[in-house]
Amino acid sequence: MSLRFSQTFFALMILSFFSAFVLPQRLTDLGRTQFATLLIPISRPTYLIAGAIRAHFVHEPSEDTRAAQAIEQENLVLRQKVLVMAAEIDRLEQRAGEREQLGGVERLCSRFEVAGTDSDNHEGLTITGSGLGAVHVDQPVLSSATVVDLIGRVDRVGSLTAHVILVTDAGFTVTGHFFSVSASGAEENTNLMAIVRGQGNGNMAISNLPFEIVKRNVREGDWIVLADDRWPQLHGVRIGRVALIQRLPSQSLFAEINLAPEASLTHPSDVWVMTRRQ
Amino acid sequence: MRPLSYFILAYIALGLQAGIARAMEWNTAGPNFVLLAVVFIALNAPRDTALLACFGLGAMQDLASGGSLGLFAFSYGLVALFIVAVQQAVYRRHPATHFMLVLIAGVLISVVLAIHGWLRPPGAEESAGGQHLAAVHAPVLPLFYTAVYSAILAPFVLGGLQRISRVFRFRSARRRM
Repeated sequence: MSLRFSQTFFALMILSFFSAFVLPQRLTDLGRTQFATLLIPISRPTYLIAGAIRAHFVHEPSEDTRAAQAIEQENLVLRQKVLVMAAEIDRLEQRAGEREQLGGVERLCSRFEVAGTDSDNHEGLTITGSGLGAVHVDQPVLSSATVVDLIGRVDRVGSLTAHVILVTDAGFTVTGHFFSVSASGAEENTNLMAIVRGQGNGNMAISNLPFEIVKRNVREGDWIVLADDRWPQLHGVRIGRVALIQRLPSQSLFAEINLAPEASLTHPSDVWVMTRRQ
Repeated sequence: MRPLSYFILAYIALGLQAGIARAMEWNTAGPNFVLLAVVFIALNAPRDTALLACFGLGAMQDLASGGSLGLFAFSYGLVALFIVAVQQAVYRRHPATHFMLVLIAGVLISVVLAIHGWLRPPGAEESAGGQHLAAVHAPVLPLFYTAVYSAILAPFVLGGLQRISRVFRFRSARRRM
């Protein structure tokens, strides 16, 4: 190795070390979404092919660990609610003028295709499509499945693509309420403000609530729904389901509530971005 | 080494990493295609070229992802330093070589990423609902699963790349040295 090359290489290594370990990330963020755009010709078709193959072979299991009786009870309540809602829809259908109001959050959203995922150990999606001009940083991103869930927020926007950070990415923070379904009906507990944080590897957790209060008010299988001041229009949109409640190992007076998202978040073919506020 | 071949390899590796690595996940860990490209280049290219090319691959992966800029450039630079030191002592075409080198390189990268995650955890300076939030330490085991997963794929991917290694013109570059 020539001395000159050696000096250059080690200077680059020291520079990259300082950039990664010492300098704040805001100083080194160079609007990297543009580079991800260049990869779309490879990443988009392979993402679609891999998604199709995965969908053929891997069926997402519905991880519901509750007793069959509890599920039956919930189904009964939901069936009653469906009947009530069906009647409500019939009534509204007769009033064409009010039909627009049935649009829900979808009318605030625009649909975008997923072009790829993060290539490092973070959990994020690269989205693309027409109408990116209306996409801005911190806009919420929802799943386009039959049940609308919050799956992340926009954290970088380029001219042809935008980057979405997923709710399960380590450090992602959002506030929500617990939503339980029981024989007496469905109820949102507005007294407990849960701070949901992504833990990486497809997990989320809540660790800001005292264990005794959680024990009295929250059960495994309850939903956590969005109650965040940043996006009041999305109040009540699902974030995940309570999978496990235990004491926080580092602070035993507090509870650690592990949440499971509705499905794996890294394989959607398209997503909704809330580009309009009203 | 031919620059065009290098950039095509880098482009395909990064594109596959963004496109199919997550779909191939097992236990929340997917393969690292860029690491396979790094080991291939470090194993075959002349010393100076290999170091710079691997550092460049890491820099490109940093640019394509949302993490700390320089993290993968530094990691792949370390991997290249290790592999160029042993490249004369190993049989380049043997599957066991591919498996072991990718495994060691993957573990090396996992250690760097784990240290980075420990020193600079995400969400350390955030607050919500009037509460200051503690940093989130993501589990490190999946990083090591990634190393093992990539090592299992290595004999197939690197074996295929070795068959077309002529298009990279590693040998002519080595003769000129």
